[in-house]
Amino acid sequence: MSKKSMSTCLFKPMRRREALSLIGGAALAFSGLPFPWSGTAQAESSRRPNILFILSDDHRWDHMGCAGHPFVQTPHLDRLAREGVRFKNAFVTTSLCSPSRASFLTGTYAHTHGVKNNLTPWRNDRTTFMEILKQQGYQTAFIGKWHMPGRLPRLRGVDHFVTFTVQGGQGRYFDCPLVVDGREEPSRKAYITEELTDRAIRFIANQEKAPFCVVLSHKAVHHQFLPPPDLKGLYDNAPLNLPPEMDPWVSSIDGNLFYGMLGPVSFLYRNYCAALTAMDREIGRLLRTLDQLGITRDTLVIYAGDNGYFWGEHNLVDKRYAYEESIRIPFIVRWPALIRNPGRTAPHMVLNVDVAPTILEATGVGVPRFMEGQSLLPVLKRAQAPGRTAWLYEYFRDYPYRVPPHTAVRTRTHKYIEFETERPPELYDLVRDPGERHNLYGTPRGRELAPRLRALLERLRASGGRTGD
Amino acid sequence: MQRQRFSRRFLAPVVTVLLLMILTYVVHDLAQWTGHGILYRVLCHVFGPLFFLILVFGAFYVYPKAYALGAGAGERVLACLVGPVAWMSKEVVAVSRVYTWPEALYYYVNPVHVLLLSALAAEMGLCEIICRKRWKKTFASPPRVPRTALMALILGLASVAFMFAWDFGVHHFYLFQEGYKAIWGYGV
Repeated sequence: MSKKSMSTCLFKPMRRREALSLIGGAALAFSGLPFPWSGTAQAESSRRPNILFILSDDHRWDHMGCAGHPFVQTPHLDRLAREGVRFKNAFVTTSLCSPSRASFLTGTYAHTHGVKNNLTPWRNDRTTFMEILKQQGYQTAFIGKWHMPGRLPRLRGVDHFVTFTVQGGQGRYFDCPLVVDGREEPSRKAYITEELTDRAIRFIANQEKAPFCVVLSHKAVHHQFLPPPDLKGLYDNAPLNLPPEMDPWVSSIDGNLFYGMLGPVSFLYRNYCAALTAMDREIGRLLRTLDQLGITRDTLVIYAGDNGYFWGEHNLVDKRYAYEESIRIPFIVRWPALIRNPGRTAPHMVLNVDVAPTILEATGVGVPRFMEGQSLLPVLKRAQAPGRTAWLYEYFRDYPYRVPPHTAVRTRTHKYIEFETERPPELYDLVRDPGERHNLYGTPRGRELAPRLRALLERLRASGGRTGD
Repeated sequence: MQRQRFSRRFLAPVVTVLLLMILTYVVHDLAQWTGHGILYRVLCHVFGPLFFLILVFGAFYVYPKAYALGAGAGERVLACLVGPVAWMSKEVVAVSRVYTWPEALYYYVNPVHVLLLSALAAEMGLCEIICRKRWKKTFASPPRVPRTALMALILGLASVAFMFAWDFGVHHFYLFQEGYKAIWGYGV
């Protein structure tokens, strides 16, 4: 832990364990030895892993060093990937903040949990994986962006609930007022990503007996894409390589103004990348805490984004559409106690609704029947495990955004999209045309493929997204 | 200077700005037909901001022109509003492709439109003050700054400043959405 980041832990009187942690951290820095006590403290719970689920906002799947990005620095996400499994075909079932977040927590599609857009409220009779883990004796915390419509709920099964309500629940990058267990509190750190990380570290360090489950839900890297002062301008000289079809002012024209990004895209994009590196740095601090507490081996860490993001592809910004840039997410799982051959990349198609079943199975709890996702444990254990062959994507009306409601089926090789408006369907061969530039619908090849894909989409709609494979 | 005929004092400045808006919008919109090379980028970089500037600041041309040609106060205000309202209506039509017409009509009161109209009010107030000073010897109009112009300038500027100061319009957007929810529910 760096001197600077260490100081961030010193904002309140320390408990015994924290003091030990601090001393131990210093010892570790000098000697390179693990804590003599922390491993034993957590060893009692080693049969049931700790859970650390880090959820970011609008982080594109390809914006990580480990995903081959040419300049964005994400050394700590790269470390997670080296020590775990990176899923290169991970997707969300609805590419929009609130529905996707609800899907992560409940393991269900938007049509099931009911948060269909950024207006429909969260129904607190929905069961989250945190509630189930609490019943199993876990200490649970939700820290960060809740951003589901309606009043802040009293989340069942959550011991510690830190969030924010400003800007419609989006929060602010700087000096964001918090709501901590129902009470308003000012942020101690100026930068929200650091503040949330501090709170997650403090919660983790305070757990002595029971295993913990922490959901750390960052505001980053949602707009306004503000990096902390020391990283401002980090990528000012980086060659951006934005898509050639991108209108440099696309973020500011017409209805796109509601995506909150006034200004040329290149300026916004550089800030986005710097804010991402800032978040990665905080993830590094969190991972070091696990190391220092000696609980890395027994902690299941999942990192995911809540949806993708267009940076000019199809001349679009934001997300929502069923195109790849929007529906793909970064998705990394690390669990040294289980994963035998870390550092691999899994080609399986996995979904946000798979997170809850995976966590529950990892903790020895059965997956409830209402969950529509699948546990990823078989894939984590064995690279050759089979995966799903097709899945359902859905997007609902979200006023005043002009994206027509649509559903899509994505197979390993093709995508078929049907809109609820007069807009004609779209069909893409994802192998030959990964950028989805050539709509095959209506072409001879499209006429061959469409009936089978349409039938598959119908079947998925009828089954509520359950594929059965 | 005499009061010119309607087509000169009202239509001419309005049509000039409207044509420029259409031209810049169409060139910007059709630039992709040139491919995705340097020409495309140059056209986007030139005509995108140009359209925006004409939309927001076109009143600085229309208002004095109409004033100089003898247009009345109502005509001057109306002339300044034609271009921006045309753009707002184009947006409403685009929204109607996804939402019902009542929902699309509600789009007229979105915060971007409110911001634009606030800026226009301030611009027209400022133009009125400047025009009165510039042509005070030519016209019989009183040299005193009319209260309405001053109010338009102050309230327009205050509205713009408030929108930016209050989290760059984010809260206005959520108020706009609350209004939507009050009428149509969650929209799904």
